[in-house]
Amino acid sequence: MSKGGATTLVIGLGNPILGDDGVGWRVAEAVKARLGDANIEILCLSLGGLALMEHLAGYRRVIIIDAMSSGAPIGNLRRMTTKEMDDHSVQHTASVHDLSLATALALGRELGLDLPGEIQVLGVEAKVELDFGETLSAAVAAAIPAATAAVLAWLYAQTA
Amino acid sequence: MQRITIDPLTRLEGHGKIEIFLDEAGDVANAYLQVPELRGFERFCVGRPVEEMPVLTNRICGVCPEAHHMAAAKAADAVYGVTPPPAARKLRELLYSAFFFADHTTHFFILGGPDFIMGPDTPVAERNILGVIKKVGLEIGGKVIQARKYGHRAVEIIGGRKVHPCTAVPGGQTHALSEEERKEMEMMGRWAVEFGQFALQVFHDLVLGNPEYLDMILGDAYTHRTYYMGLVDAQNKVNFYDGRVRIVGPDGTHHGTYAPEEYRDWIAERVEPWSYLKFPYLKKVGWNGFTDGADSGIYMATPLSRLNVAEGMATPLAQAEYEKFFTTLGKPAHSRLAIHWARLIELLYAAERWLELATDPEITSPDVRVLPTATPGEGVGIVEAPRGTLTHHYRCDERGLLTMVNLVVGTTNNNAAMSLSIGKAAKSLIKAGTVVTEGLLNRIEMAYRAYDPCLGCATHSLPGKIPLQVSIHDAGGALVEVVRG
Repeated sequence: MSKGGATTLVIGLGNPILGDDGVGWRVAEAVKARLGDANIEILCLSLGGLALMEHLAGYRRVIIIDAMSSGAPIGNLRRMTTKEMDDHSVQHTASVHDLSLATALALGRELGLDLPGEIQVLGVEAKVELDFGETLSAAVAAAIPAATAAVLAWLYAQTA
Repeated sequence: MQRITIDPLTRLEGHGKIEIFLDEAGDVANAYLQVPELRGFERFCVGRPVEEMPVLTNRICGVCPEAHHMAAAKAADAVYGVTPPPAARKLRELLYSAFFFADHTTHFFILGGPDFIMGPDTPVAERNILGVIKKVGLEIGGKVIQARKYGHRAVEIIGGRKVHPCTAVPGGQTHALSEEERKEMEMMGRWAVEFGQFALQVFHDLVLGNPEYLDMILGDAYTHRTYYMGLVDAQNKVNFYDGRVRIVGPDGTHHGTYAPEEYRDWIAERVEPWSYLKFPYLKKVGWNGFTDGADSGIYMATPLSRLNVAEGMATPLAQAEYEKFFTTLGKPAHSRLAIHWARLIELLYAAERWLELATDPEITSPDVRVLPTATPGEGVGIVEAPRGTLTHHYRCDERGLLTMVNLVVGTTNNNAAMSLSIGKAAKSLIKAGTVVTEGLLNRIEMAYRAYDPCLGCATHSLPGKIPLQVSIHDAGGALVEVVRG
């Protein structure tokens, strides 16, 4: 739920100890370092569909940065809808113990939750990790400045 | 029959897979559950300070971080040989009860329940919470979201933040509960008890009240006579946070109980060439292949197991429901679909325990930590995760840096039992000439879904993100049908 009146939310999604899967957190942290806007809240989360949807309630606009696996070159950036996110997300949103984000959003809207009108997803093509570790691959680390710029551009375009 | 080779690339897709192999006649020869595995969490931890573990391990997975947080804190207590003060213990159990309440709610209403409320053969597009709302009414969806909200809020109050708590440390808790927070916990606890009763009423009306479903629950396709495991308190009542692990046999007789540090005397792990996930079994019984019965060391650790090993529930409303449960099913109950009912009884117990602890005069005591002063050594912590007994075992050097970490997680306990269930359901439901429909495959998946498997930490990945795929192969090994769940 929005705290302190922020209407825009930036979410870095992923597991910070699972290699490239942590890229969403790193981009969100980079965005945070560049922003001092009380209207924009920045969160780093490791959550799936239902809990993720619950975090979005109360905000008008949301951008989610997540690792993705679509077969594109590692480090590639792609803007997506939440539906596409469910299809391509590396390791997060679909689960035997959760709903997909798109289904969770449909549920939230059905129940009348105050969900954002606009949800943008920025996917960073990542190497699928099977080993724990805190470092990103070189290609993914190199994509952080461009991903950060893309998030900032979206934020400024929306708030202008 | 053709040898099965698993293409390593299929692991990278992150799918849990059920592979069904037919024989020449078209009957089921074998069925396997396969899951991908992430490696090296234990190795990743070695060299780190043990007090980091309660926060680090809850990053293994986004589904039950609270369970890892508690098991890690208890193992760290043991490493330092320190006993948290009573108020700290109660705060941990209070947080844990709220977590169980929210997690069990999610499983029944979002994941397992729609099979019953909508019917197992309902198309997958409607067999979900959205379908449930359409059928039962919008109110039910609002209640489920409210239950989750209160669960998360309770975790935030005691655990310091939502979802990934950070306040349990070796020797106790970092924060005491204020009177204002206690009042909020009490208010939410009262609501939770009402919700727990509502959830059981839904189950009685829509599931037990439907003769077709009752037959399915009581039927042979979902029944195995295995050993059962779960934590019990000193009175042999179900406890999620603490106690001894009790094991009963397929006939309900006592097999043994063990304290956390004795787990290696009781549990051994088997490796199968076709699975990335190990198969724990009872050491004193031995491995006798994928079969049930008293001579097979295969055991189950689920809500049903916990009810089977216990002699009752420690709270009155849950106890009354526990009695109904065993009057209907006999004790021990073996039907895997009865896990759903057992889960709702546990949900009510969790709510009642939440309220009891929130109104305990000691819960706001400022005495919430004993500072560890002993030289760290070795320790084991065990809690019940919603989906089974969770064991954390750490060894440290004299500086408190980890030299060995071993985790036996909830879902892994059930790996062999789930494989049995999938095989039996497949063999019972698919015969030569059977037209394999999506509904039929769903009935096989139900055998697996009842366990509430969370492959997130069983495979050491995050956060429980593994969709299920069912593949059927003919006698020549050719793929004839694939359904993605």
